[in-house]
Amino acid sequence: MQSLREHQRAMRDLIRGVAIADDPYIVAASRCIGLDVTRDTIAGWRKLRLDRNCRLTTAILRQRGLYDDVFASIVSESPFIEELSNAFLEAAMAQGDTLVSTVARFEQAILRDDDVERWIDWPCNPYDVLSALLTGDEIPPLENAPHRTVVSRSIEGMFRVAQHV
Amino acid sequence: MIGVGVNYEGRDPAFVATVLPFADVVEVTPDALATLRGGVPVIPRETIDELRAINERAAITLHGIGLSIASADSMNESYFALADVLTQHLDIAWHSEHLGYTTVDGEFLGTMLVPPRTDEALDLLVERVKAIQQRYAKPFLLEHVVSLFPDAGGDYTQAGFLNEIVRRTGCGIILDVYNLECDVHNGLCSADAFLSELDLAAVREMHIACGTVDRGLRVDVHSRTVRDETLASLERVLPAAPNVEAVIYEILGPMVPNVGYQGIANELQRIRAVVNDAIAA
Repeated sequence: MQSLREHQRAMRDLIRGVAIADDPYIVAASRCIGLDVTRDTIAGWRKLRLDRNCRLTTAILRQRGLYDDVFASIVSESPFIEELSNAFLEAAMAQGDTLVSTVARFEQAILRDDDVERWIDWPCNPYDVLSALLTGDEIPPLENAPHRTVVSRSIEGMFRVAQHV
Repeated sequence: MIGVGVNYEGRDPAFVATVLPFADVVEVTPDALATLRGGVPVIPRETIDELRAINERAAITLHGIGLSIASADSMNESYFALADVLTQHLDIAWHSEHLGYTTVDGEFLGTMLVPPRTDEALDLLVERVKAIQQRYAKPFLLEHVVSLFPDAGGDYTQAGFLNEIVRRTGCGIILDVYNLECDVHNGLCSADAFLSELDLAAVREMHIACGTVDRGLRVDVHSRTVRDETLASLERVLPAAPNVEAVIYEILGPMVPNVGYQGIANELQRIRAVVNDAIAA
């Protein structure tokens, strides 16, 4: 039997799909349905937490069929929702869709736990996008109408539309 | 008296208003209460204040998920910082953790795994349980964990491993009826064999919950109301476990909408009725 340290490293590598150690138990574990269930449970739990914490970005990604690709590109194994959310939002920003990136930057600013005021520029009226995402409706056709949101914990409701830019 | 309780993840006034009147015990998980500030997990001041108010109406227990007591490399030191704060500000009845590991070489797995039941693992766990007992002047309990993998085996049976930790440390046991149902369903043990071997006098707390069956495996997610057969198991075991002080219904925070606040309150009343029947028997 492997040492405890060897066993645990082999189980980690197995779950992550990195390697299957040359050990009878690990080989048996690699062939069991529990491995798939475990991996899916881990992913499902991460998605559940992200859906709750990054409601706007998950909604727009799902509407555009981009959610799974962005989820798969997250670079974080953190147990802390703050770090996991940040990695998810960064992945959404890097995805290449301008409106998705704007929504992700807006949500990231909303979630920041500091007193910094942040400006997020939009290619459209943000209310049209936010109201659709919060009600679960499809985002309507958007006019080219640049807006800026100012996000700060000192603002009632966390943000305001400052000006057209 | 055996208290009836529920877990709570904080900052939910509706939960407190609807559920707390039916709870003698509130189980809190330090990891779930924490928020990151400057990259460091902390228990927010407002959460501590809220729990202090709850503590005036119910007993509070700490039930960790992030200590990773069975990790070969080390336990999670940041967990202790959270538990320290809570034990300083609250009158904690007791403290507990799962007999499993969530990190390997400091890397979070995203799940909790069961260590093999070897003498090496036993020695490690005994040393760590003793260290925890010295750190906190409160009883410490360990809970057996569900596995979705083949039995990792070792030098002890599942119950024998728990018994040996109890014998060498004096710690208590959380008997999770639903976890046992999962292991039985998944072919890892027999309930009768487990319960007949387990030192039931060491059981201070029992858990009940309900999750789902996924591809034939019963999974330990706390997402539903308790099945009648789980309550029947609780009623059968309770009379044989003379030192049980609390029965806790567990529901994951994100799953609370599945059951609803009134639904959780109803569950606590169902459990209390079963506990009362078991005591009377």
